Order: sequence, then C-alpha cells, then structure tokens
Amino acid sequence: MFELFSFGENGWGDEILDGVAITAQLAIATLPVGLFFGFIVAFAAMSNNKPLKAIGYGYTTLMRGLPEILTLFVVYNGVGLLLNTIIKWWNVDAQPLDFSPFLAGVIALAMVFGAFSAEVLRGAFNALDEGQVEAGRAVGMSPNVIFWRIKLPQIWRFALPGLGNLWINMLKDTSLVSIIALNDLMRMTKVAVAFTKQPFTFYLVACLIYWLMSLLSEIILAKMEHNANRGIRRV
Amino acid sequence: MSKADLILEANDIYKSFGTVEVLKGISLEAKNHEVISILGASGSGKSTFLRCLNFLEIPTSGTIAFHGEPVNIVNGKPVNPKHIEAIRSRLGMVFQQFNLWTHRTAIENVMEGPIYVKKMAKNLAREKAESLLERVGLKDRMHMYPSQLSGGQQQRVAIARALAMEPDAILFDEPTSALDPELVGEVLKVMQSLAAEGRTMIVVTHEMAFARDVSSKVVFFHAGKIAEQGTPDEMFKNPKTEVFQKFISNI
Repeated sequence: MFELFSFGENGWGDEILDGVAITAQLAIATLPVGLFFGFIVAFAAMSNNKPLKAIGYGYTTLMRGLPEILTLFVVYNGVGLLLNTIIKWWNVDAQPLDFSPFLAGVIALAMVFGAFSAEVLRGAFNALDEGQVEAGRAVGMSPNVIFWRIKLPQIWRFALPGLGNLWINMLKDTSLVSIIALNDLMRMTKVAVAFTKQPFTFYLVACLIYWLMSLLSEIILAKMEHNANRGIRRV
Repeated sequence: MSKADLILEANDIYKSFGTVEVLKGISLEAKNHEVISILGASGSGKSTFLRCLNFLEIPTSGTIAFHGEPVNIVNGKPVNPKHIEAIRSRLGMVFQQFNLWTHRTAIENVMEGPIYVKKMAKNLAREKAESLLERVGLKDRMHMYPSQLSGGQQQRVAIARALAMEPDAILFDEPTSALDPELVGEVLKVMQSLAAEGRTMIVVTHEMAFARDVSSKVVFFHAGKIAEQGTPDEMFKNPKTEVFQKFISNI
C-alpha cells in the first residue's frame, strides 16, 4: 500500500504531488485574473451606460449557462486557433504556436470565476450603505480615494463569504483541465489508476487531497472573514 | 462686514426630485462666525438645502458661491469636480446618522480626511486626532469601533472628524435627531462650545433651545421657501408669520 505512494521509480507519490502542485498553481493563478474579470463585469453591469450594462449582464448570463468544460474546450481550441490565425496573418511562414493548456485553463476558469464573482461583487456594492460613501465625499475625498479607502474594504466584508464559495468551487473545477492534458492532480490520479488498476485507492486519495485543500481554504477564509468583520457588531 | 467675511452664498436655489419641487428659490448667506439654525417641519426642504451647500445634492438651478467664487454647474454636473472636492474639504459635515466609517476605529475615522485629502503626515494626523477626540471627551475610547460606541459618542467622533479638516464652516444635518433623548445633551454641549469659539455653523435642527440660545440667526423653512428669518430674539419673541407662530407653538 505505502509502496504505491512512495517517491521514485516504483511509487506514485512524486507524480501525485506534482499533480497537486499544478492544481494549486492553476487555482492560485486563476484567482487574481478571475477577480479582476469579476470587477470589470460588475462595474459594467452597474454602469449607467446602457450598452455597457447589457454587456455586463449578458456576459454573466452566458457564462452561467455554459458548462465549464465547454468553456474550457472553446478557450483551448478556439483561442489557440485564433492566435495561430492571427500569427499566420502577420507572417505566413510562422510555425504554429502551441497554446499552453495551463494558460487555457487559467483563462477559461477565470472567465467562469469572473462571471460568478461579478454577481457576488454587485450584490456587495448594493449592500454598501450610501452614508458611508457620502461621508467620504463630504470630507472632500476624490472618487478614487473613496473606492480604495471606503468602498473596497466595506464590500470586501460582504463579498468574502460568496467569493470563498467560488474559490472552493474553482479549486475543484481545476480537475477539468485534466481533459486537455494538463498534468494536474486529477490527471495524475487517472494515469496511476490506469497503470496500477487500483482505482479505489487512488481515487480515494485524490478525494482526500481535494478535501484537504478545501478544508485549508475554509480555515484561511474563516480567518479572513474574522479580520474583515472587525468593528462589526455580530447580532 | 466686509466681503471677505462671506463664506457661503446661496442664490435662488431650486431643487426638484423628479416632478417634486423641494426647494423653490432659497437664498442665504453665511458669514464668518455666524451660527445659523435652520428650522422647519419635515419635508420643508431644509436638509435638502443643506446638502446642496456642499453639493451632495446638485441644485436644479441657482448658484452657490464659496468665498465669493461661484461653482459652475452644467446639466446637473459640476464643470470641475476638483473644485467641489476642494470646497468640501473646507466645509465640515455632520450627518443625522453619524455615518462614521464602520471599518475604522474612532481615531482612524478622524485621521482619514487629513491623511487622504490634505496629505498630512500620519503622525501629525494622529496627534491632531488625539487632541480633537480629547476635546469632545472621547480620548479614552479612541481605539473603539463605531459599533462599540453609543450614538452620542459616535456623533462626537463625527464632529471631531469634521474639525480635523480645519473647516471654514461646518454643516450639521439634524445632528441630534437620531439620538436617544438622554444622549442629546452631550452633543449639543460640544456644538455649543464650537459656537462659543466662533466657528461658523449652519445647523438644521429641531432643538428649539439650541436655535434660541446658541445661534446668531434663525431661518424658518416652509414648503421649500424661507418663510421667515431673523435673530433668535426677534423670531421667538415676535414671530411674524402665521406658519412660524404655529410651528413654535406646536413644539
């Protein structure tokens, strides 16, 4: 049993661990990009400009309606094709570019995370007490200062539980990239299963690892929430 | 009274929300060291007028000048938002609901404006905030969050926050209306001390005693217009209009 997970030639320990590293890298790389998308989409949906508003809402509706795996395929195949077409257009003799599955994974997951987090952020901005912003305007703060010093710290508090949920979802969605040949935890597990014919053992270990990553996230999130809620009376 | 003493000048201010006309041609001047109490029934437009003075509401028509310099408004938008920010930084405002920033402690609330608007050094802003909180009697509570303070204490922090900007005048929007009756006194006492040191104040209030004893001028709003104005003595001893007579007899 333990030999199966040893490191080196005979065991799958190092492969699985590499997979964990890829999964973690993918999730961590996706988070800032996805959150950035989320803010952009939320701002678009909240803007007074009608076309911009339609784009914001339209994007969310579209992304929510698509299975993540389809988004991933579209990005991986479609964007790769698009890039190569553009390159060919510039330079006919150029070698076709290999679109990195990691990058495709980050973009696809971030697009999904962006759509869902936009809704969370929009809700958080709506929950913001207008008096808090007015107090900032009344002392002469610029819109920029109001955003960074008042709005952001306050919406953070409202958005954190929802964003935490999305983060854990996304952490697990990274397993989808195994399909486009990225050697994440899921794919390494499948390879090990195919090789050893011991599906139960390896899938159980993968479950345990995903669950531990979620658990770790939850612990960190709880700390962050505690921190964000300082000064707020709990009722 | 020289021109230099004039801080705020509102001229023929109209304000509508949709089809409802709330202000119907209000003109008012605030000179240095004046304490102006604005009285009126709810819905008379007095809070809206106050909020026009620092452009939290943009008047539908009419002009507001700060130190003799009018603010240009075109199509309901200020031509130069920086001008408005500069005016606001020199006009303190105290809100009915205090509006302290809930995610910052009392002292951080007071330091915020000086640091992020006036670009004051942090340690200077802290010293200043400490002395202002001491002045409003809250030095021992300066590291508490607003949620840990009573309404009266929150409002005193809000006054310290306004003072920290060293304003030329302070606008008070019903500063004691949201307070439990037993907490009103501590806030009025602070406001009275500000008046005594010659601060220019414009106060929308329901506190008749404050209007009568502390202010230098009383303005009575009725249905979006100034129905009557004068010194507290004239106003309370010889109310001229029927609406004001009725208003003070109902209190």
